[in-house]
Amino acid sequence: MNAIVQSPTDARRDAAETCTRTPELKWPADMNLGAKIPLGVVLPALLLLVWEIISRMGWVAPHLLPPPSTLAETAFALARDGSLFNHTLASSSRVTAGFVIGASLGLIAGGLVALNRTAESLLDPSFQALRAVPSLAWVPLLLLWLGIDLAPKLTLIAIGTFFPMYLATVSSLKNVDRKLVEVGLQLGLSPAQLLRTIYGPASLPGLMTGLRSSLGLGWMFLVAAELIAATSGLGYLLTDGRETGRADLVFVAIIALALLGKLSDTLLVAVERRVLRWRDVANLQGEPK
Amino acid sequence: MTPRLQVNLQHKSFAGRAVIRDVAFDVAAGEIVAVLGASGCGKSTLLRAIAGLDRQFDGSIAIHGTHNNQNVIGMVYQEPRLMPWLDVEANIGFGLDIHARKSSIDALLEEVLLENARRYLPKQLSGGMAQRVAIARALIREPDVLLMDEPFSALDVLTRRSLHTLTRTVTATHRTATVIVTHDPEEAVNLADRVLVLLNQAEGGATIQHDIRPASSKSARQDDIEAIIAALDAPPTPTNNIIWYDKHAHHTR
Repeated sequence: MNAIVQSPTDARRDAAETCTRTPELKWPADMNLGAKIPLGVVLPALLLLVWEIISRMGWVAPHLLPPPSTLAETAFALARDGSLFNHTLASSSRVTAGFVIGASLGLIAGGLVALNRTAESLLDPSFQALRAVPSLAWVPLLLLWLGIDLAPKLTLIAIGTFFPMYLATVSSLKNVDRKLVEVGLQLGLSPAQLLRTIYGPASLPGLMTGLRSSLGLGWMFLVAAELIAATSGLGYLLTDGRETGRADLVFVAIIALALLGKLSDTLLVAVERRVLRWRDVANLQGEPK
Repeated sequence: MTPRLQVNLQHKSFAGRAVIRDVAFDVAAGEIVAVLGASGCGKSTLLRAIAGLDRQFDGSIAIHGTHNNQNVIGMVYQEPRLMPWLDVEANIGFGLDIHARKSSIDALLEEVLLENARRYLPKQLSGGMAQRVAIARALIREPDVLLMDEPFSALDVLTRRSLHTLTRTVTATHRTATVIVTHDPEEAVNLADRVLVLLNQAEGGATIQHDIRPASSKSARQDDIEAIIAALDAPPTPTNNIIWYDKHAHHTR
């Protein structure tokens, strides 16, 4: 057999071959405005302006729709006496704890069901049946069993966050590319190694999506839990506002919930960007500026 | 001396239908054998059997004359099958102990001409570069046998040529018994030392071995290609169940 030496042109050509990035698509709507004003604030700002005018003109009763300036005063007062901070802290820690419990259990149960046929036959039908129960239907039972303290709230949030994480885990593990798994099998990896080096990383995109929807539902169930029985938290602030006829309190709580929900999701998106750097996805909106 | 790889596959069927019958061949260390045939003739099945991914067949597959599973087999697939979350270096050392692999990775990166792409992610690689990484990953365990399943079919002609060169170089330096499955007679003749042609086994087809002429001129190679195409084209008859081609004559066994 001839001894063949790699010609230097091969190397040069390969260097030139080095991949170019995904071609950048430019949509007509993708204007440069975004560079100066974050586009996301335009709509809320306009809304606030119109709202202020409507309230000031007296077209709607101010006790039902207080103007944004009043809301700002209320928020400021609540912030000054520390109660806004306390309510926010109470709610955030409940969501965090419930989410950590629910999502971890969802991950574990989903992993078991996806990777073990016996576990799937044993557990999945029950989980699917339980999932069909609207989660709020558990509330009376939780109150009966666990009283009105922290336990029923955490349990409700955990139930709410469990199912999206469970479903995401099962589907992302089951959708791992068979061809990659075959590579691992051919290399003689043990089941534990396969799980750690192939199934785990390959299912991360799906797991991250699961975490985000799970956390989103966590906030929803937090409000449900706090509306029912609580003496602190943003849900309590909502009830308090309703009972004392103070729409401004209700609005402040709603805005705080919106901001917290957005903030927590932004954190998860940042984590997602970091751990999924390797993903090769089409970017229809062009590269970020 | 026993050949590095001895394949003797008497029977393999899927759902009662014979896919492979009486396929027997040897591959020496440092030798490349191309397996050619129309789709559905059992090429990939044969490769999976040699790789040990499929053990449901009658016959035997021996490496170094033995049937144990301790032999290392390197596998290169049609798609590079790199782990998208690992960079080039980590893909080459995939599944190995991180300390054991550092020096061999450096040598292999140089061998497959990817020293400068060490930190690239698979999404940043061209098809040719990705397949070079796949070859390096197959070589890092110093395999006795290197199996390649249509590894270059998705690549352009220049890239394919440079990878043919690479395949010959690594087969010679690593002394692997290399088996490459392809559907392209030209690739088979240009790359391999011998060509095994599988005719449609399900319809009572035959196995033909064709030795590539050594000091081959371009026209001699063209003759080889034509001979292989003619063999693929000819309808099998019960008498020519196994035909052996050698350099200048063919005879029926």
